[in-house]
Amino acid sequence: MPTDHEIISAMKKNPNEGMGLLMKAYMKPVYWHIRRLVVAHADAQDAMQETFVRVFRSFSQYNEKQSLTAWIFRIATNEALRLLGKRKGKTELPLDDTSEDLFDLKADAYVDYSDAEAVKLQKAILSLPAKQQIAFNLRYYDDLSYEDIALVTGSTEANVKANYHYAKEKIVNYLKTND
Amino acid sequence: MENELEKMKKSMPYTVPEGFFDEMEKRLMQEVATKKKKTTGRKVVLWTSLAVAASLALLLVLHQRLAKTEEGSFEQVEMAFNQLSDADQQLLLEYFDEMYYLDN
Repeated sequence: MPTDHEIISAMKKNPNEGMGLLMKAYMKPVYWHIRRLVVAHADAQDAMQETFVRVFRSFSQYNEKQSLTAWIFRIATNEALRLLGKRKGKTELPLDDTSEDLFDLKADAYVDYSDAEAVKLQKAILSLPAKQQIAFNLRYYDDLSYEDIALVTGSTEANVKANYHYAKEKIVNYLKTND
Repeated sequence: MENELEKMKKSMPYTVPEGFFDEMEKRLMQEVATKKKKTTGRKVVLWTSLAVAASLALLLVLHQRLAKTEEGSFEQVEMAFNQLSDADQQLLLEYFDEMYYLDN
């Protein structure tokens, strides 16, 4: 898997080649991150496509002092929130939105409902406000540092830690009460 | 229960169609290649159009000084525009279209 340093150098020398490396390293993590937020496969596909087009177009604005992972996940998160916002007739979904109808494990051809444990965990995650979902998912599934998650959400590390711990507590309670 | 959460680590009920990621990689590479071509094309039009716009401005100034007609009327701009070749007129119109595109 190419390192961030290799990706950045390649993007500068030959953007098309650089994008090839970037997608090799980030396509799956970005897709799964978006998918966990928007749930439906078709929506995740659209948001992922838009994410990489934006990454390509705006790479000149990327600040190398910051983490590439955080920069890419920030764009991906914004695309997912934009898509969720559209469902509510808004430009973008506010991070503290808790509308139950938005975050629901609706029927989708690409959800394995036979995996009861995994379904329950996703339902628990989807019951959280967007900012807690994002903090939890990026830490739990993607092993991002609190610092990177703070860059993704435009928040502080302390805030992210609090959101992650609230989320974890709520998920544990959900799993206990929905046995 | 927290240990259980750790044991469940990374389990997800979501799946994707077979070959989805390979297909997406190809499609995205094609898409960014197209975007690059469009951007390069736009830059050429933009620079050429800027040159034409500068020529038009110069033409207007000269026209005002030589003809000494009434000041700053729309007719003057129109007359100056009409003196441009068809190709330059087209480029100028494309330039304004482009500026509109970039602003929106």
